[in-house]
Amino acid sequence: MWKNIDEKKEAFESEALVHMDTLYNGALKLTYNEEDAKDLVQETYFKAFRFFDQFEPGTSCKAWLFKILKNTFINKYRKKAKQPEHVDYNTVEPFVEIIKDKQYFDSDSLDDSILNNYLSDEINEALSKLSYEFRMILILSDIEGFSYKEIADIMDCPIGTIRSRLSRARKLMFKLLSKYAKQEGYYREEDEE
Amino acid sequence: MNCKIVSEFIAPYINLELSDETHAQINTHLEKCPNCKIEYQAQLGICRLLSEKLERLEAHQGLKEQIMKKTIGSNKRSLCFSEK
Repeated sequence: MWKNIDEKKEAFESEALVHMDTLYNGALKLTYNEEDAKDLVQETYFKAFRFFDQFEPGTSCKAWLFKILKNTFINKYRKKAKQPEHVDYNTVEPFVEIIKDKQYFDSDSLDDSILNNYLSDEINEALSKLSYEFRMILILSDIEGFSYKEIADIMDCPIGTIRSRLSRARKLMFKLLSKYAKQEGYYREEDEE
Repeated sequence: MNCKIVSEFIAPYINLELSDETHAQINTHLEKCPNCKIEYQAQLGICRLLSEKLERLEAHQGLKEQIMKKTIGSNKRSLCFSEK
C-alpha cells in the first residue's frame, strides 16, 4: 500500500489527523469529561495509526476513525456505566408515548461539574441526559452528517435500527428542548395547531 | 400510507435517505396530516438545532502535538491545525 513509513505517515496526516477537532468534539459529547475525552481521542489515533493498513483508501476516513472511537469508548469507558434498558429499536412508538418514558434517559452517567463549564448550554445539557446509544446516533447523524450506511457501519447495526433509533433520539431531545427550540425559532407554536 | 408507517419514515425523510417515490409519498401525507406534521416539525427542529446551533470546540494544542508526535513523529504545525 505504502512504499515506506514516510508515505504512511504522510497519508495518515492528510487523511486522519485533519479530523482531530471533530473527533475531540465527538469524544466530549460521549464522555462529558475533558480528561476522558482527551484520552479517548489519543487512544483512537494511536490505534488508527497502528492499524492504518486496514483503512480502505477512497472510503471515509472520518467514519473509520469514529468507528475506532466508538469501540474504544465502549471497551474502556462504558463498562463501568449503566447498560441501557432492554430497548427494541425496531419498534416505533407513538410520538406522545415516547417522550413520557423515562427509561431512555441516562442520568447516572452525567458529570454535573462539566456542564457547569464549557458545555453548559441547553443543547449539550439535553444531549448529556440521553443514554449512550441515543447520544451517539445524534452525534453521527445530526452533528457530523454521516449517511445512514456509514452510521450502520460505525454502529455495527442494520439501517432499520439506525432509522428508528434516530427517530426516537430526536423525539427525546424534543421533549427536553421544545421550549428552547421555540424560543430560538426552530419550532413554531402554530405548527402544533 | 398510514400514520404509523409515515412515522417510521420521518427521520430518513429529513435526511433525504428515501427513494424519490417514498419521499414523495411522505410529502403528500405530511401536507394533509396535522399530527404527522407536528412530529416532522419536531424532528426537523432538533436536527437543525444540533447541526446549526451546537458550539464546536477546538482540540487543545497540547493534545494535537502529542498525538502527532506519537503517530507521525512530528509536531510541526500542519494540516491538522487548520480543520474548520
